[in-house]
Amino acid sequence: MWVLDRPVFLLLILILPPLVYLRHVRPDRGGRIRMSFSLFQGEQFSPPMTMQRLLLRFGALCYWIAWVLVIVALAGPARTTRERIYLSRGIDIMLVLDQSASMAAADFRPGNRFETARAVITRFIQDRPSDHIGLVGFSAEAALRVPPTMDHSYLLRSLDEMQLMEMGDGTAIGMGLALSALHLQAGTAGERVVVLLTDGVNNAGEISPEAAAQAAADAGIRIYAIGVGSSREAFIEVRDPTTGQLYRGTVKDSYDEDSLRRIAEISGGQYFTAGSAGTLQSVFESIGTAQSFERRFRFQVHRKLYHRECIIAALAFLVLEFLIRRIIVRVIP
Amino acid sequence: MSVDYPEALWLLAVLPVIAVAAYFGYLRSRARLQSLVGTYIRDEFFEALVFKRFLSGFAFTLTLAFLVVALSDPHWGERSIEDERRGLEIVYLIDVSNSMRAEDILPNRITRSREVARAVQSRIPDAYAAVIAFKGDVSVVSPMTEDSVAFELAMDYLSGPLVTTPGTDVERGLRSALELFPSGTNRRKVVLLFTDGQELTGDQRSLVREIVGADVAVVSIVAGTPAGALIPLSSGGVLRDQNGNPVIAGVDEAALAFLAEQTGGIVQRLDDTGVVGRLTEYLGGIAGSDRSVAFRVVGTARFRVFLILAVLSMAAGIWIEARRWSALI
Repeated sequence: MWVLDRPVFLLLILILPPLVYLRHVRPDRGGRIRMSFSLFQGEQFSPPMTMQRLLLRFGALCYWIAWVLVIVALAGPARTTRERIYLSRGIDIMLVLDQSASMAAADFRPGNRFETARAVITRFIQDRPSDHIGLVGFSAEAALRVPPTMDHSYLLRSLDEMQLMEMGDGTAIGMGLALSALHLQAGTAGERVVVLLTDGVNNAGEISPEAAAQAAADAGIRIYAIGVGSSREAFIEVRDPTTGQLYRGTVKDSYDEDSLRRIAEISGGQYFTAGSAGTLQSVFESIGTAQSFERRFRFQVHRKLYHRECIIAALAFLVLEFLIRRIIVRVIP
Repeated sequence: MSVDYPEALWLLAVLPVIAVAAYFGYLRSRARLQSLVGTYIRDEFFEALVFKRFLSGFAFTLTLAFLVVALSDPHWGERSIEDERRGLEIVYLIDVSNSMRAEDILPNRITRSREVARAVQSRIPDAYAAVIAFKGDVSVVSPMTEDSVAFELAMDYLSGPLVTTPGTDVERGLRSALELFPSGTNRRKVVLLFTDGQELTGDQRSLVREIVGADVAVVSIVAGTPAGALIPLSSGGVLRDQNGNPVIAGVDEAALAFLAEQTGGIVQRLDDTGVVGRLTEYLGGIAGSDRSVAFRVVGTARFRVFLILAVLSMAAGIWIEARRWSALI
């Protein structure tokens, strides 16, 4: 929004009419020669509109524009932007996303499970600007993609860069949970939660999901476990990012519902199933509602002054008028 | 008095040109006046012309001069404003270029930078930290987080091969650092810049203005000794230039000190044994406490003083030109 820092200076516009009168209208102003109309038998005459007169008029326009610009610069034109400053600490959330090949199953229209999960997670992140959110990916291994941060643009970029089968093919749920607990345990937020999203059964890694859930629970971390996918057969097509090899086929495996339920129970969290894109969206909305808290914030106004631009323009107009009036037309003052 | 845009003052050099142009304009006006009123014109006419020309030209030149000074954004005097920021956000911006392998600081510049960064962060555990490695390009190793495990991992991960573009583009590193401060927080923002500062070129003032505008302080940690050192290669031997002469990695302490001073930071030397203590003391000092009311001193902008003077001289110019000749003769 555009504002004026000191609008009172705009009152200086009021001195312009008298100055215009002095410079252009007053009959006995300097640089004029009085003549008797009797020489012309009382008939008035007007000089022709020559190029010089046109130039002079243009010069005068430049001069008064410069005046206005200087007055506007005095008033301090500024553009303000409002930034929301959060006064209360949000919660810490670690998103743990399955990157195994089965997440390419195309039973979540219009995309596959992974693409749908990514889209839903993106909306979830955008709705929680004051929370510190991190990202862990897992398949045969688990890796921290982003530690809990309020830099959500970085987080979304990292989420966008995730690929299926980056860490081989497998489902190391326990490793993913243990890693997220490790990075959440020292957080100072009042509430720390893990949102686990998987479509498979733990079949890789040295840590069992239950043991990881217990470690998380001991650190006061709550786990929301989401099983995605349907039990019916689904087509998959996935390219291994390491070898570039394309895999096509069908998948009918489902997640281990009992294990996910136990994980949630151990940590005091909740278990959800999502058989479609719509239900996955609802699940994330439920988690968002369950983890809602009072967000206190204030607006901080940032102000950027633009007086320098006005001064630069005023200088240019003044010099232009000088060139026209003094150098080209050579007016005698 | 200090100015934010000293380069604008170069425009004052144009004023003599305008004055000379005004003089030639006067000579031509005089010739015109002569052709208008004849050669028998009284001297008083020319005196009046000189008077009007000189004074109006002087007023015009003054107007331009005042506008140019206003354009440089002068300020003097200070005022205190309440500082509501609490806590710290630190971006560790670490140079991983070849010159940082020099061993004039043991075990070498980059390893010592890592040690100091770790020591500083461990002494202010409440501070949020982000880590960037830079050479000719930039790699964000960790975003702003309070996760100490992630910070340690990022420090382990720091090495030359992290960025493939050769060079030492401090400017790009600093611009990336500014982007790593998330919006919506109310903490003080500091960049700890570990570099030997070589190739710190370009428009530094513009960069400094950007940093100051973002309310960020840059703390420069000079990674190197004035004497410099050879750059060892992993394959053995030392780095040589095209003529086969060994390359000596020096430091550009003046440029780093300029960055720090202009942005309200401090400059420290990496080979100084007390560097960790002094950095911790500085950072602890600006972090503020949760309960205390803090103030900070800001300069008072004075461009309006010169704009008002410009308005007065413009009005004076109009008045001079509007005066009747008969009143002067």
